[in-house]
Order: sequence, then C-alpha cells, then structure tokens
Amino acid sequence: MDAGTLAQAFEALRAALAQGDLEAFFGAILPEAAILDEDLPFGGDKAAFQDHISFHGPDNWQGFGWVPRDLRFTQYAGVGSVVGYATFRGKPVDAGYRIRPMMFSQGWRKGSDGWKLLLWHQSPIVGHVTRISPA
Amino acid sequence: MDTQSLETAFRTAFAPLLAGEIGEKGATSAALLDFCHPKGTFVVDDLPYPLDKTGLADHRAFHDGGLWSKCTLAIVSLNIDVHKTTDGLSGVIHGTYNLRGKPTDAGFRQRPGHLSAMCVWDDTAKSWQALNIHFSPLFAQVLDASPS
Repeated sequence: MDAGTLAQAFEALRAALAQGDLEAFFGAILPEAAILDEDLPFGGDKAAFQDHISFHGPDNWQGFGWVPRDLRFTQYAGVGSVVGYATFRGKPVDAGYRIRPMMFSQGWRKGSDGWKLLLWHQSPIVGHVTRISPA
Repeated sequence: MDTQSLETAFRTAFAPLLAGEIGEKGATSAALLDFCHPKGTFVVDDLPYPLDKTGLADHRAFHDGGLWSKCTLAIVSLNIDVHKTTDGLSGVIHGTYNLRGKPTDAGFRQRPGHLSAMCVWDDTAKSWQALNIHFSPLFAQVLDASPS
C-alpha cells in the first residue's frame, strides 16, 4: 500500500477541515492522540477534541477556517513532525469577526494505514510575546 | 523500548532545569540539545517563531548565561505514550508545567504552560530524539478565547 507522504497526509487533514468533512478530518486522527488546543487550558484526547469541535459548530459560527503557513516537515523512522504557523479566523454568530494567529506542532506516525496524527499542540502567539521579560 | 525509557530520556534532557541548576549553579542546556534531533523544530514559550536546533541552542545559551539566580521547570503532569511505526517507534510526551525562578536583580517569575514533544527512537544511536518540542504559556489559552 502506498501510504503517501507526510505532506500529503497533512494536506488531506487541512482540506478535510476546510471542506467541513469531519469524517475524513477525524479519520486522520488516532483515538489515543493528544490534543492541546489553542483555547483550552488543559489537554484532551480525540473524543474530547470531537466534543470541542462540536461546540464550535453552526450554532456558534457562521463560518471559520484554519489556515496553516510556513510549514516545516521532518520525518525519521516512520515518525513525522509538522510545525508552523496557523490562523483561526471566521465570523462568530452575532459578533464581528475573529482572528487568532498561533504556532502549532504536530506529531504523526506511519503505520499500515498510512500517516495518522498522534499529537497536535496549538498556542496563540500572543502568549509567546506577552510578559516574557522581567525587565 | 517502552514509556519508561522515553520518560527517562525526557527527564535526563531537562535534568538541570528540573533540578533548578540553571543560574548560579552554572548548569547548561547541553543535555536538552542532545535530546533534540538535528532536523527538529522547536517552539519555546518566549519567542513568537519556531526555532531549528541551532536557534534553540542560541536561545538556551541566552537564558543559561547568568540571567537567572535560579530557574526551575516544575512538571505538574506528564503523559507518555509509545507507538510502533512501519520503521520503528514513536513517542508522544505532553503535560503541564510551571517555569519558575528568580531572574538576577528582579523579584520572581512564574510562567505555567502546556508542553509537548514528538519523539522517535533512533535505533542507530540507541536513543530517543525529539523531532519537535513545544512549550506554550497557559494564559494565552484562556486570554481572548471567546468573542463575547
């Protein structure tokens, strides 16, 4: 089986989210994956992430997008890393609009079922520049 | 290789920070750099862009160079998972921490956050290596998290 490349797997994940294809999106994420999301102060697993994404559904958003940029791919011995910038942006229902620039790091593993996501850590850039110095 | 070996590798990499030996005790981040894969990418809690290994070494040298009387990485929670891949083993580390200490000539600092690392077992070197490490301050996870 041609498992494809790490970049192809990442692009499929991005495209699935952009198209609202949640079956394909969550299909790329292993049940035991660790998700450290940009708007929660605690980590979760895939089930918690699915619940959180459900909250961010049509009741609360007229539309939103996750736009990754400046990606760095690394892989070794069936383990993949994707690190880059991303922007969550969109229009909440009954509110103007939102833009949340951040950095993210992902971990992927290559198995007989291809590349699957094991780790996704996202953090708003504001946290990396605010109050970083004591003087 | 199991989760214990990965946790040992992680704690060895951060041993000087875990022991509060960065600062007047003169410890360095050499062990952390040994843990980092040469082609890895690293996100630190106090810069707004990812670093390669050379950039991480430069940033750690800045912090190791006498700016702290004492600096400690206090691990609050740590989760370790190991998976087989087609070609070896992957290791996932994630948890929460409090980076705390006394900068030289300033009161004290606490910066709690999330941490994660994606690791690979290097069967040639017989060691775990981090392809990425990400530290992020928690307050950004709750600051401005909602539009209303």
